[in-house]
Amino acid sequence: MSTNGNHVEIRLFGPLRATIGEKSLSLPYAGMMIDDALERFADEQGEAVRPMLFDSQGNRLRSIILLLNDHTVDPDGERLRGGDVVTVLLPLAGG
Amino acid sequence: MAEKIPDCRLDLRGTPCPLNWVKTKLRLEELDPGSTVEVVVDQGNPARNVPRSARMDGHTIVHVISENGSVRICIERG
Amino acid sequence: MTRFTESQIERYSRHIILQEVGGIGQRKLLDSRVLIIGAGGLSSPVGLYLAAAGVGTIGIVDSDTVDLSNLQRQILHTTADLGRPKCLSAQETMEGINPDVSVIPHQLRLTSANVLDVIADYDVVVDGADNFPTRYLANDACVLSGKPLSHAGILRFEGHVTTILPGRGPCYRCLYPEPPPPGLVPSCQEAGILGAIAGIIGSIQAAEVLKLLLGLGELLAGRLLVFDGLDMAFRTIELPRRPDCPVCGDRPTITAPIDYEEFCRLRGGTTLQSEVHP
Repeated sequence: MSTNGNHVEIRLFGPLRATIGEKSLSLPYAGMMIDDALERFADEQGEAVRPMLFDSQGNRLRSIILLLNDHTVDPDGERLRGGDVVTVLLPLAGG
Repeated sequence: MAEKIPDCRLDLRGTPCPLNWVKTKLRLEELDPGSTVEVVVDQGNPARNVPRSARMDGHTIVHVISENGSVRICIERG
Repeated sequence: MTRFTESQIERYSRHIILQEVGGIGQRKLLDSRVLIIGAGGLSSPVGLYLAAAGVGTIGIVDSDTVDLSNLQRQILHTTADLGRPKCLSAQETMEGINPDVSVIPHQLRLTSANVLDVIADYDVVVDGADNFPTRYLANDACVLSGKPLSHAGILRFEGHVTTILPGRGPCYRCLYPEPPPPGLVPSCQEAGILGAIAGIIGSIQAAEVLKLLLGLGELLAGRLLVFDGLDMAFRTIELPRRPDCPVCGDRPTITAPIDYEEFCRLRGGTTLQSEVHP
């Protein structure tokens, strides 16, 4: 895994990818707790993205799967390091 | 050495590949391990393919005897 | 060999030849009962392959009629079927492929009132639904009934697949404890779908169901297969069962099927209450 200083890769799928228009973004979130990084991400990506990740009270939606380096995230929270890969999966409705 | 007498026989003359092996296999499934079936197949591809498939499926070939334009293959269930 | 007709021996020869299947495996398939929810994009390859394989009884649940926009990907139906109930069109196609198969059309919408009855007579359920309420209903009903469920979802060029084995691995709510707010996640109708993606993902579902019925290989239980059709990349993610899962966890709060609208109404609270219909 390459270390990219203070950048982490956010991998996007499904509706998030469709809304943001990118498969992944490299963002300067190293050192942040993952929940804070997700908050900052929602702030930075425009108002269409926030409701996909957080409810109106600011709680993370329980309809997303969050992975850190392909593993489920510890519920106590983890601190991001340079080169980490965060994957955000929303459920796919189509059939 | 006397030729082994099989527990049952199956006449597959005129049955093409791979159906001859498929029918042989279905018959073998009904046997207890160690029991034998003798299938009679046409010369040529059937006589080559059936023993090979039987071995690949874990069974033992007891004898292969050409006779009167056909081939008798005795197979012991693995 | 008295178990199969001549025609069946020939029809299923490519299965019987497989060391892992044989006549014994084929008999298992003929004796199996699988329910497919939906007769659309995912359900089409599932229905076609399960019928071809000789799964003896296949139920199809769908209340819609065949629409022109369906034909871009829903390969169970043809132009001649436009306007027909989808479950009847599916029945005709599948029984036409294999007369050994009995297709049971269930022309209805699944609700909390009927889902347990609908799934009762089947061994395995396949989620080919196109909406979250039905997906959660199917998951909850299968967990409550202890029935395996093949789940998949698609959108644009992507797909997800997993196999849910109640009591032995995570269920859909372990992955996504709550449905997303209504209107948040687009359907194929809104965001589009490359038709063949439905074929790829639905075929994986069909293979999983056959493996399950035959007891073969490793299932996608506890794993989510994430497919990106633009890259042709497959990734599997291991996902654990949640001890606090509302339906399959150690202390379930969902003990009967629940309708989505009711679920959303209750979302503000910390506990979920189930609605039991007589």
